[in-house]
Amino acid sequence: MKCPAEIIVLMHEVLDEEATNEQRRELFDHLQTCDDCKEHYEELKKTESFLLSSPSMKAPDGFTSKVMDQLPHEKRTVWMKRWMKSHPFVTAAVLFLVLMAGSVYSSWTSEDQLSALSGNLRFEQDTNTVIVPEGEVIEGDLTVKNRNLEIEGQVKGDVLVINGEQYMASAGQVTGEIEEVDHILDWTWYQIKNLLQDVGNLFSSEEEKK
Amino acid sequence: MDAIVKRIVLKVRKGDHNAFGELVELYKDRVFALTYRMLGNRQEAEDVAQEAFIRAYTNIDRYQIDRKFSTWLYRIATNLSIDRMRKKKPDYYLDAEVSGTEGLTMYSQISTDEPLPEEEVVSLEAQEGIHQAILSLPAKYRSAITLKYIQELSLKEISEILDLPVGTVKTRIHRGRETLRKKLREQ
Repeated sequence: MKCPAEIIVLMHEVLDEEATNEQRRELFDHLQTCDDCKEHYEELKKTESFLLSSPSMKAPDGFTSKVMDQLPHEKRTVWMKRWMKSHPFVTAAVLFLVLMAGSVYSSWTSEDQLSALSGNLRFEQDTNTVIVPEGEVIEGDLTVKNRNLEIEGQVKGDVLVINGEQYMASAGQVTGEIEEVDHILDWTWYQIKNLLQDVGNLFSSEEEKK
Repeated sequence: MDAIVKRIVLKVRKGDHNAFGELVELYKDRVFALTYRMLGNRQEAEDVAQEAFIRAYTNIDRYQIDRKFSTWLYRIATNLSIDRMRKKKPDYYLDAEVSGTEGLTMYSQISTDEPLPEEEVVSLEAQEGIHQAILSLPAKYRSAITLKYIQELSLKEISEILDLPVGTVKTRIHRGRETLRKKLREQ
């Protein structure tokens, strides 16, 4: 005798404890009358009890420490990322200051430089000194960086000595201003002053154009 | 239990390394049982269980705190196990069954001075039938059966872990149970 497939479905519903009381009654009434289905149901019950009785497993020894050893060490960066997300303005301000300081510092330490528009200059290696020789006339501004400057001749313009010293011989003459910048703070101030001056010039020149 | 787990998870999120150790301690046996039933080999099961915890750690920010942690963790472990089953490499593990033999593993090919403890042998024998029967199931039935009977989870939880409708989970459990019934009858 072949029983309807619905009976098997009912068995599983009962095993899953999803069956209604009505369905349960229907199944058990059927099992009373049908030995094949009864056997089938018994086997399913046995399978289920086998499954449930399988002993609980224990993770191998040292499992936890093995996991902990393998955890990525990116904790700090994760923490920082999270912090940055929650403090965007502070992050932006810090970033700005870092970049700003970086550019000022790099222009402070960048290679030695010497600029003059015209004229002959002499350089003495041992004393690291740039000399404006006697009788020489420099037309325009003179900038010396990371070197000392000795003026024996004449400079028709401003003199700027960065990170160095300047000596003026008695015969020397400078028609413009002499400025010495010796510290990074001075340097920063000088940069900002220049920047403001440039911006000012930009505006005034535009006004002139009009 | 859930409240305790949630508190630990929050600590882990704040970067507390050791708090994660507590989570591993709490769930290691259940996760290992899951991967072992899925893969049938202790070495692989341990690898995958460890990986599941590492994934959980690196993705802890994605866990939704209002849901059950175990559901999320089992989901990771189940998916990793299924991935591993799919691309099963022909690696040789000592636990693996020697082909052409019934229940003989590579361990039996190695001489050992130390006999296995008596109780372990007995429980191994008792377990072997059902274990092999589960392993012979296709992956989709195996995961559903394992979650239901080894982890003793509700159909709803299983459907969340497997990301399937409850109806589909039911069908898989029914088919799996039928297949196991036939296997056990043969034995």
